[in-house]
Amino acid sequence: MRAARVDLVIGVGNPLRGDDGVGWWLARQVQGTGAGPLVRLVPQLTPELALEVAAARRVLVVDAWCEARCEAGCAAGAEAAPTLRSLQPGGAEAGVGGGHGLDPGGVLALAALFGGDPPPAWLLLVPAFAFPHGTEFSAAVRRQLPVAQALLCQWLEAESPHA
Amino acid sequence: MSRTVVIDPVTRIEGHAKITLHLDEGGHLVDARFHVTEYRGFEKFCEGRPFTEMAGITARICGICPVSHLLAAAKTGDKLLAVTIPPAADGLRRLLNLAQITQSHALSFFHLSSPDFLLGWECDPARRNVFGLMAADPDLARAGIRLRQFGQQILERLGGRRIHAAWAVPGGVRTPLDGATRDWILERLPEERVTLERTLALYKGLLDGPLQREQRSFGDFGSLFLGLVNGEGRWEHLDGGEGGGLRVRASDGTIVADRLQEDDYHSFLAEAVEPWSYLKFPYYRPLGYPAGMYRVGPLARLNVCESIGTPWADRELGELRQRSGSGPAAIITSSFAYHHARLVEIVACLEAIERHAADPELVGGRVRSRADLNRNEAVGVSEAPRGTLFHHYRVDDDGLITAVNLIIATGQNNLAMNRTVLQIAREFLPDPVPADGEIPEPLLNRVEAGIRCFDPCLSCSTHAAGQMPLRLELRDAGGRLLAERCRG
Repeated sequence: MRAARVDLVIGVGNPLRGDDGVGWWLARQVQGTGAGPLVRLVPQLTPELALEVAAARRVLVVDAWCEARCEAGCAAGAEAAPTLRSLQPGGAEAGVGGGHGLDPGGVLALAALFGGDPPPAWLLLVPAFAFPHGTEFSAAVRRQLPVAQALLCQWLEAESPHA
Repeated sequence: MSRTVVIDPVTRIEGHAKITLHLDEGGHLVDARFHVTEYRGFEKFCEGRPFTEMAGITARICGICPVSHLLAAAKTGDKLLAVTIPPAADGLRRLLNLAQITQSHALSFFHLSSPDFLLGWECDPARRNVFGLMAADPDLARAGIRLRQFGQQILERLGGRRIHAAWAVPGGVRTPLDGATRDWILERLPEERVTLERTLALYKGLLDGPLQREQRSFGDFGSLFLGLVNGEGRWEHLDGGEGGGLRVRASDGTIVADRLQEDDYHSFLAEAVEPWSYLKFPYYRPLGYPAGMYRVGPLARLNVCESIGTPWADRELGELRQRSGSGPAAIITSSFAYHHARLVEIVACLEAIERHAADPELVGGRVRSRADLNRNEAVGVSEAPRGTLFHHYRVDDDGLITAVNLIIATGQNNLAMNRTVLQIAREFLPDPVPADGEIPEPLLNRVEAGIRCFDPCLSCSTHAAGQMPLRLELRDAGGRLLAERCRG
């Protein structure tokens, strides 16, 4: 049954805070493209999003990646690159932090309430460096956009839900 | 030497804060402070903006209750224009606020607070959350998420987007209710009624069982209560209308002040400032500070009103008063009853949503009054999920903002939150606290839960961004840190 469902792309972030808007920007690239995926643009991941995740064939969460430099090894001077990684359902330790939002693994775990196994899901992370007021991306993010767009296209074009 | 206990950060609320418990030289608890440690400053950077932008700007204060700011700003704008909005616009704004209260209360009850009730205070905090709830009672978790989705989808269908929809504007709203949305609302209501019936039955069972101690020790004290009532003294969430307004009621049931108008708020409210918190301390001016402590929000709204005005909600209000109220007016003084009050208010919202959705005026009526600027100062008020919200603007002759004051629900509950923390600590801390000062985990859990009764939104109240982890410190009389626990 899941094969008949649509793909869901969730752009996360604040489009008025510099690089934090990169998730929305990328998700908007595929919005309204005919039979393309359903696109959701959200400032944070809230519990009811699990209903839409559960109804999807597969899911891609696109977000800014603040921790990228540390993971890439900033001491060595390496510049982190956008990354597309498989997303697994998170448990208690993954999701609820202190406020009203969830992390992507938490939303995926909650989706299990509404349809058994959650759909296969991925996370497209774009290294983010500056979060001032405004809609402009930093030069570093602008350099990364072609790579991020290529990863997004790769995900969209994959025929198998296990892309 | 006296000492201080610090809880930092506080979890499952919105924003950043810590709590300190202060001990005297004998190790006895003498004070508790809820410190809000962030600042945003919306009031300052709104200066110079056109008043017509205020709804859109102030809605950005919060991602959870943007509608409250949207409505208060639109109402303030109505007054600057000096217009009466069309009846359909009033009904549509009401529908929006009812949906907002529903989704916000659902998030507070099911997502943030019910893990405490169902999984227990001794439960590992890493499991005491919505995922633990999901494992313990998947039906309840599922129903809670769908109830919140119901409120969110009404907001999205009315405003065109889930949050920050600038749909309410000075003079009314932008668009009427469309028929498909009306039908969708009416189709979904039966499911949400079943959710509330089941949840109320479950929660009352918990109140009769494992939650009895919490009911009497989580902020059970006398205070004033403030909220809107309509012209018949009934529950109100947006505009008291003819003969209505703000009511202040005491714990003994006495109506201290009635039909107060928001334009005169300076005559009955004042805001104190303490050096240890960015959150102000509003108080009822005639009684002074801090004796003028008052509470707002769901519990206050149910305490100030005579009735709700819809059958099921009035039955539930009657039972709540019978269970938890005291005195001839059955005033409820325990802050723990905020949770029960939220459920009763969701019932009231569902009944009112049905009434508004069935009103043909909302589909076909005129929805906006237009005028130029006619006044240079106005105050608007609405009932946000967490309590009464005031927006006060001054503008120049070009309609540019020259001064803004926002009095937020969480701030108005600040004194009561501090008092609640003190009461919980007195109940659950050993007395005197041993010199080595280890903070027991169940105390940490309960102190957090005491704050969570008020469902504080620090992003709104301090205009601070971010999450709200919790930090608790134990300090001696000289300020020396004896023990510390952090979470989040």
